Parts: sequence; structure tokens; C-alpha cells
Amino acid sequence: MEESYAQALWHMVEKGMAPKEAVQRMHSLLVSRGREGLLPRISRAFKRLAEKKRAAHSIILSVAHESDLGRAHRETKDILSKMSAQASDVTEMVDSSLTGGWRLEGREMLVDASFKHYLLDLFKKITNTLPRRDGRGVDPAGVGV
Amino acid sequence: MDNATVEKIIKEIEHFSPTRVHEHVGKVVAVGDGVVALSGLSDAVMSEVLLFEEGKGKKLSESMNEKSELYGLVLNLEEDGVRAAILGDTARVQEGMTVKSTGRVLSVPAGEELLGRVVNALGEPIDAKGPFKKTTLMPVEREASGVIFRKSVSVPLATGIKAIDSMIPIGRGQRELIIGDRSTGKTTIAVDTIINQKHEPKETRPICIYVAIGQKESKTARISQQLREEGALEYTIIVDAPASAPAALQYLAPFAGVAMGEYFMDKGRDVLIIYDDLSKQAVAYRELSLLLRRPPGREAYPGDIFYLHSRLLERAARLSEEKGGGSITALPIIETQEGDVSGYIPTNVISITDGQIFLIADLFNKGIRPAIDVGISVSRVGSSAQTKAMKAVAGGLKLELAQFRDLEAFMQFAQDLDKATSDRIASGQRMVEVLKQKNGAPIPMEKQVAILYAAGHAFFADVPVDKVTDVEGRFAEYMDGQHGKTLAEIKKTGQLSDELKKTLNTAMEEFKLAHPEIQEA
Repeated sequence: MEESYAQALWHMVEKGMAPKEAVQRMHSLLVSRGREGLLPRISRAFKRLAEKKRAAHSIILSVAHESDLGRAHRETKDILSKMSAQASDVTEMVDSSLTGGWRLEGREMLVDASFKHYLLDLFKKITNTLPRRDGRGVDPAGVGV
Repeated sequence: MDNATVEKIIKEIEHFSPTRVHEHVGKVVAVGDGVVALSGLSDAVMSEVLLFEEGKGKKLSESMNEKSELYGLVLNLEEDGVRAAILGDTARVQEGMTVKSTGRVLSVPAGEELLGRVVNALGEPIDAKGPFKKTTLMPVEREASGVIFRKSVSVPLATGIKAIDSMIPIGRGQRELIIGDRSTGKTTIAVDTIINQKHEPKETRPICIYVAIGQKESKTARISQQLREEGALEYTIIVDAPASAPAALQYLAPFAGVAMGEYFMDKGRDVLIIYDDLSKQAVAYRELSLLLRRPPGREAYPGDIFYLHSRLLERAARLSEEKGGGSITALPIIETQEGDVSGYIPTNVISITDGQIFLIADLFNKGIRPAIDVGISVSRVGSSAQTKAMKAVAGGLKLELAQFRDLEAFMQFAQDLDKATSDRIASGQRMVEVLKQKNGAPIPMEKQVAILYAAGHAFFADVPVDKVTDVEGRFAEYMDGQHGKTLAEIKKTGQLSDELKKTLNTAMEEFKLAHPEIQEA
């Protein structure tokens, strides 16, 4: 139930109502229905919802070394504009497992230009030309991928 | 490593050009019991295959050591995400993991290379005989052929089991249900049918696919061994989704099997597919649906449980000549509880199929095996799927047995019976013995015709009831040895001409003269 109230609150704010007014109206409604006790749970649900929305909206730019950040920003400029993202929406991260290059993930999109991704791709193509010793199919993506 | 392989590697590296692909992704929000809830993937479609990115955060060397990729199948499209079934080990999935959309629906490899192999529900070989080199991907979900592309069933599919081929004949393109309690011989009928196909000429021999759903691995291994020993494995594919497999794979296995069969059907070949058994697929689908939070219906099955089986079984068909003339014959198996054929799933499947073979535990326990209740078993295709020879000898069999059953019950209460009734009872008892058959011993059509012709012409009238099976076996051997040409003629023409009848009469006389000891004192 509290999830539904939290979602209703979010939609009201999204549509343009001032957050303070939205909360006051909800409080009045709950009091009139004798459900004031739900408020703390609605508040926690709203926090979770806000966190979910923030995470869905956020964009993470990962690089292998901090020195690669500049180049990564230059190379991802076009992609970010297509995603209607601002520089402030981007969170930078250093992930040494990438080996090199960068990886941009967020808003249901992923662009992986890391050396690890390319090397893994090449490795899979090469090993698919060799007979496998583990008894599995040449194309483990015989599932249609 | 040979030079050719090194050359291949050099070519791959030279032609490698990295591309930046924009992939649609989601994130794992919750995982458990083989089902995963994902946020994002707003463009995902139903039955789309997803790829779990296990390598994130791992070093390159660790990622290279991964044995296989992990896939999922989208089964629920919800307002704020999707739910998918994991096609593999749930333990490999973690919360927060990135999941990529592949943009494709689930397909399995199919082709001649799969013959003689044992694969899982995703078409991956599990018999340690090496990978497939060249296969075609067939979609697991595909619409069944329309009415206009079908042809009526008229070519027999010989099971090699006398009771079935004579009274419940199955044709190529038919769906015939095998239904009964546990341990009544359902799988035996199915396996014997596969073995019997070795008697068919190679050009017209059906490709056999045995789909094991929720079975014990030991049982599947035993069946595989039996087929290998009988020389039947070379034209058979075994699709195995054992009891230890996730519910998603048990649900998918029959669809994977029929997809492999459609490859051959589209090429004009005949296919026989056995689903052992659909009750377990229904249970797996129920489990999956409940985990996907779909509303439960009767007996907690989801509302589309009928559709699960109807869309599967409708893919068994006989195609018109324009479409290649191929066929898929389906023998689904359903296990009943305490003989209850009015249960939800049994009645569903009975209404879909073109007939059913009922196996009764009482008959099995009495030693009548196969334990087929011919009274309530039926083939809706009927004699259209019988050769003329078989029609000639099997015509009155069902009625005779029905009359015998009535009289058998009467016999317990009557002291003195008139001669006509006694004769009918004696004849019925002998016919029941003739229809008994050992498992793993299918009999080709021409021999069945000879045996049933003899039975219908009082050949066993003077044989003690408990000796009928033995005499029948010896007669069959005698026909093989002394009248092989007659049998070949019946097989070739499919008819019982007057001349052939005369030869059979002569053979019966000769056998009786040569074996006077078989007659009752």
C-alpha cells in the first residue's frame, strides 16, 4: 500500500506540484482516512523509489586509469548528447579490470569501448574456430544469439 | 596446433575491427528460484533472450575462463521492469548485475549432426561427444502450419506393437496420447516405437526425437543405452531436461524438441517425437508461473496451461506436397494419478490429441502387457493409417475382444455355458495372449499380419492358453525362416491378396504338422 502512495506522490511532483504542497495534501488525506500511521512507511517507500529513479537516471563512465578520463569524455560527448544527458549526470569511476578504453552505462544503454571487451570478443571468435575440449557446442549461443 | 588453425587465428586478428555497439541493458533487482526481476529493458519483447554480464569487475583472464555464457528468457513484461527465467545456474546471477538484450527470440540448433546425440533443452550437447560443427538455428516458438498447408493423415506409423497397430493405428502427422498411471508401460511403448523404425527403409524412416522432461537421469541413460544397443540411436535425438534441471528448461524442452523436428519436416522428412512426459512440463510451467507472480487458476495452474500444450501439439502435422510433404507425429505421454483420467491436465491433452492409448495398472499387474485397455483407447485417424493387409486381419478384433470382456465377467457366475459361448471365451483368451508382447521386441507389420491372420483363423484354437505366446513366437520364427518371401511380399504391397492368404493357410498347416506337441490333449 505504501508503495502506491509513494508512487502517487512521485507522479504528483513530476506533474509539477510543489513537493511541500504534495506532502501536505497527502498528510491531510491520510488524516481524514484515519491512516496517519502509514506516513513513516510511505516516507521510506518514497526514499526507495527516489533512489530507484536516481539510479535509473544516472550514467556511469568507467575507465581503466584516471588518465583516460579526458579521452573518454571526448569520445562519449556525442553519445551523451543522444541520451540527452548533461555532464553533471555522469559519475566517473576507475575500474582497472577494463584494461584500457572506457565503458558508458546508464539509462538502459551500454556502450562498451573497453580493451577488455574487445579482447574478450576476439578471444571468443578465435576459440570458436578451435575444437572445444569441454564437450560443449561450438556456439554456446546456439540459443539464438 | 596445426598450421590451418594458426592461419585461421591470424585471419581473425587481421579482420578484427572493434565497433562501438549501443546495447540495451537492464539491471538485476531481485533473483531467486530460477527467476530474476530486472529494471530497465523497456524495449524488451516477450520470449526475448537476455545475456547476463558476469564479467563485470572481473579481470580479463577470469572472464576468458568462463565455461559458457548465461542466458535468460523474458517471460513477463511489467510496468517498471521485466521478469525473466534463468536458463542455467541461478547461483551465477547477482543483484545489480547488468543484463543485455540480444534482440532475438530463443532458438536451438538443429540438423543432421544432432542425430545420435543427447542434448539439453538449449540444444547444447551433453554426451561428451564434442561440439556441433554446422547447425541451423530453429526458433523454439513458431506458429503451427495453417489448415491450407496440411494434408490428411494416411501413411501408417508402425509402432511394432500388435495391440496398437491392429486396433489403435497411428498415422504420420497424428497426435496420439499415451496415458496411464506410473509404471504401466508408457515409456516402453514410446521406446519400442522408436526401435521399430529401424525396420523402415532409410528413405522413409522417420527421424525420432525423445524429449525427456523431469525424468531421472538414470532412466534417460538407460533409454539411450537401449536405443544404442538396438541400433536405433543413429536416427534418434534425445533432448534431456532432467528432474534436476531448472523449471525453465523443463518447460522449454518440448518446444526445443519440436523445433529440431521442424527442421527435418521442412525438408520433407517424417519425424516422430515423444514427450515424456507433459504432466511434468505442466508442473514446471506452474512453478515458473507462480514465481513470475502470474495469477493461479484451477489446481494452481496458470490460466494459459491449455495453450501451453495446444500450441506445442499443433506443431505436429502432415504437410501438403507443396510444403514438402513432411510430417511430425507426436506421442505425448501423460501420467495419471490413481487412474483418474478426468483430471485437469489429462482432460486438456485428451481434447487436443487425435486419440489416446490408455494403460491400466490392473491389466499390467495381471500380466497383460502392454496393458492397453482397447475398449477405451481410440485413434481418431483409424484405419486410414493402416495398410490394407492389416485392415483385413484386424477388422473384427476390437469387437471380438469387447465381447470377450463381457463374457469373461459373465463366466464367473455361470456354471454351464453353451458351446458357442465357451468357444468365444476360449477364442478371446487366446487372442489376449496373442496381443501380449515383450518390451523391447517390436514386430514389423508383415509379421503382425501373419500372426493376426493365424489367430483370426483358429490357428491357436487347439493350443493351451498358457502356451499361446510361446507358439506364436515359434510361428513367427518359422515364417521368417520358411516363408520370408511371403512376408516380404506383404511388406512390399501392403495387401493380403488371395494368393498370399493361400500361402499363409499352407504355412499354418505345415507348422501344425511339424509341431503336433503344441496342440491341447
